[in-house]
Amino acid sequence: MKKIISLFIFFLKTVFFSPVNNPAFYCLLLTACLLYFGGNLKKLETVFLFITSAVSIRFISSLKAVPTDFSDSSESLLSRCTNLLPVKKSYFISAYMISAAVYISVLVSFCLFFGINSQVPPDIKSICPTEMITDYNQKSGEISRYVGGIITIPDSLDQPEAVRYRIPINASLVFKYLTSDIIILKDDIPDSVLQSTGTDNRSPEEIFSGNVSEIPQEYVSDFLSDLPPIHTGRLLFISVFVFLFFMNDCINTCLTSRNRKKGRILFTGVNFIMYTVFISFCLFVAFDLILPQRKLILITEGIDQYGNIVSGICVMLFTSFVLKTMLFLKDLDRSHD
Amino acid sequence: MNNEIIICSKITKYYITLKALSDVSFTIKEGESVALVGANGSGKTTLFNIILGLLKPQEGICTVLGTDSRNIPPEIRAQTGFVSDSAGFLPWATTNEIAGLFSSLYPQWNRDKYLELIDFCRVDPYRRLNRLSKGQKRLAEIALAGSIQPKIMILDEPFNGLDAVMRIRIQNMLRGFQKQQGMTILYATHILSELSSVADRMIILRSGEIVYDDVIKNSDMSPGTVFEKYYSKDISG
Repeated sequence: MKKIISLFIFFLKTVFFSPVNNPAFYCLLLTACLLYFGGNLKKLETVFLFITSAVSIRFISSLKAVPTDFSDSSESLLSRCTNLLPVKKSYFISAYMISAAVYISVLVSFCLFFGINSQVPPDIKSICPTEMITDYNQKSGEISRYVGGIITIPDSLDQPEAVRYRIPINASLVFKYLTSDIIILKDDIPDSVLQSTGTDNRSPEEIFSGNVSEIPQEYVSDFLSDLPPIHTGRLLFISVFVFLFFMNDCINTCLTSRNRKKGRILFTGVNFIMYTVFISFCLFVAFDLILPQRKLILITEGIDQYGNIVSGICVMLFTSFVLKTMLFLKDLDRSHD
Repeated sequence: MNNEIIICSKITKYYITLKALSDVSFTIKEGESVALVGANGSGKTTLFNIILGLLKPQEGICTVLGTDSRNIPPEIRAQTGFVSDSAGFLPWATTNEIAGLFSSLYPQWNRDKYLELIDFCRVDPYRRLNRLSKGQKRLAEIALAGSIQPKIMILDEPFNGLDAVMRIRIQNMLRGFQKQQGMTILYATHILSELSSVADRMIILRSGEIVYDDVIKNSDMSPGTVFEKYYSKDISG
């Protein structure tokens, strides 16, 4: 217990006081994972592995074109997990929570992958001249910080090279990408860019279609203040999906153990809602990428912190999951070879 | 506690309106080997599920090692081995890997026993379960269940998919468990011709009711003949 509390405090400190882009952050997370999973939690790990496998099969089998016996083995496995293994219920609850967290992190990783491979459609023009990006990169030495800040607006400068950058590997960025309509790398825009040239009555399109250095700072501020940093609807969307995903598995467990009739009705209902939400979400993201809806990319400090926390947790869970599995399998090999 | 290890008292179980079990009562003593026989849908698996705590009966009570089966604590659970008639383990894991998982969950896990049984069953422990034949998979499950050295072993149609040689070997193995470890064995089977070599007692279920329950040696008739007698209407159609 003491170990868990100290780890929790350590984790909070790491998340709240370390910048996410700092490699030390990940090193610390890695160390924490090693400490945590190197402990005497073998029983939990075993249950966790069982549940994760069961949920994986269930998830795979719920996709089409999967042999029926695959689905059967999932039910049998869940049933075995919840009822036949000689462990306390608390282990199942813990393992289930970890499983849910792993699946959330997998979901985020999927989004990350989506983000890495997404390109701004060629018909969308950037207001950032390529040269400016290059100049800025030379100064900062951190291309990723600016690449994420590609500002896209229809009918702006014709600089297709600028928009063909890929979003860098950065979980927090992806999360911001999912949760924000408008993202600007506020801190990363050089002062010279934000220098005011006086009051301007032109429309945003007119201003942004010009040279980026002409953007008046007060205009940028006004523009930002009018727009919520986090798109509540989208965040809600993700939350609902994650909740349903978790619920789905919980109900499935109930289904295989007790009260099958009620469980089956609930499972079918939740499954239907879950996939509706998931498909809608995919369409939502797809349309978001295809259509030139996103006007400006903004990363405010608030979102940044939020993204850091979420991505930090996800990275930790995912790393720990991989580590745990590796260590566990290594242990198995040692005991039976 | 006396030596009655499983006590089922007036068990009734409905699936919505279908009566799967009706007023089923029996006891199994420690070290006994009991065969549960009956046609498909007669309630064998339902009864197993109630004993294992996977299902709750609407009426009646079932106790396993003195504990209500609806709320079996982990210590008692660890004393129960189960071989299901469906795939129950991680399909992509090897038998060795599952053995590793079990070793951390079952306090009485015996690694030497596992190695001995896996060798006896001639199962490749490094092959994934989904790569094994149905019979091999069943053997692997039996070996794993035997290695936890339970007090009670419940097997749902364990001889399905096994060839005659392996069936006899497994029957001998189960007899060995019973005699050497005093293990109580309860299994469902459709193979009546070999029943007397593995079971001391036979319970016949028909439409969710126990129609016969006696020690095999007490009867002049073979288990197959007894079964035919109680299922004569179904057999003649």
